[in-house]
Amino acid sequence: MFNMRYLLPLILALLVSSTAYAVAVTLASNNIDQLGRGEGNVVHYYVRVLSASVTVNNNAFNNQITGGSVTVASTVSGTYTVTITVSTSAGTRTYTTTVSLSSTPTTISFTITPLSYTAPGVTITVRADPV
Amino acid sequence: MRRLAAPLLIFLVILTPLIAYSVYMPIVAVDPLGKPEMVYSLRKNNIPSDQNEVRSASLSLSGATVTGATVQFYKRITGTYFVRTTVTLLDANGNTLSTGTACGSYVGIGVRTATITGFSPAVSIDGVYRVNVVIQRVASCV
Repeated sequence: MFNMRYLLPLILALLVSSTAYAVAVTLASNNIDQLGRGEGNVVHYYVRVLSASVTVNNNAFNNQITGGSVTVASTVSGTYTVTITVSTSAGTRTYTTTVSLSSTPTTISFTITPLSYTAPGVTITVRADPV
Repeated sequence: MRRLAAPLLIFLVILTPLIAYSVYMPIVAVDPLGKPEMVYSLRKNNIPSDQNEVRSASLSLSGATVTGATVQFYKRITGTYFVRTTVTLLDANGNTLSTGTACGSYVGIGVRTATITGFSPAVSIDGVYRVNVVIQRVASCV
């Protein structure tokens, strides 16, 4: 369909674009590698929350959550900032603490400003970030 | 038109890989940093015959494998009736990984305990992002 007059520029264009891409990838790879070595504290850790409980102010249906406890472990030992977020349809409360975590579970008790324990229930989010 | 065909083709050949390689792919997408958080969802029911609420949930492990769960709930409606407790383990995308169930007859009012002795299929807690705990009054455990 095409003769050499058209094929040659096409090949040259492919060659140039491939070379440019290879150079770009090489430069980007160097940056990523440097970033990886520089960020020494970035590790793969898994937070394990083995239990979660809430404490309520009374047993009436319209009761309030005043605190609770969570049992947490991490696959990588270290000091973590643990953020516990308690949410119901009535609102959200957050509790933050700094603890040492390891593969042995640690129980963290917390108190919050009273939060209505409404249907359909409560969500407790536990997040641990390395200090 | 034939004179334009070759430059157009060249342009398309160059453009295609540029578009292909311009797809954004963050490092975390290919190199996840683990699992920094977990979520527990504890159910509270609100129908006249079933106003029970979950107070706590605890997972049992064998190594990293989830082998069971203990759920404490407050039984608010008097009388004796059956309650089915279901604990569902989900991944970060909301997909169900495994489920465990217990059903029993409970008497009176107060904090009651349901014990789940197995999850099917067996899963590692490191893959679990969310734990959903649901209790439900049922006519029977069959």
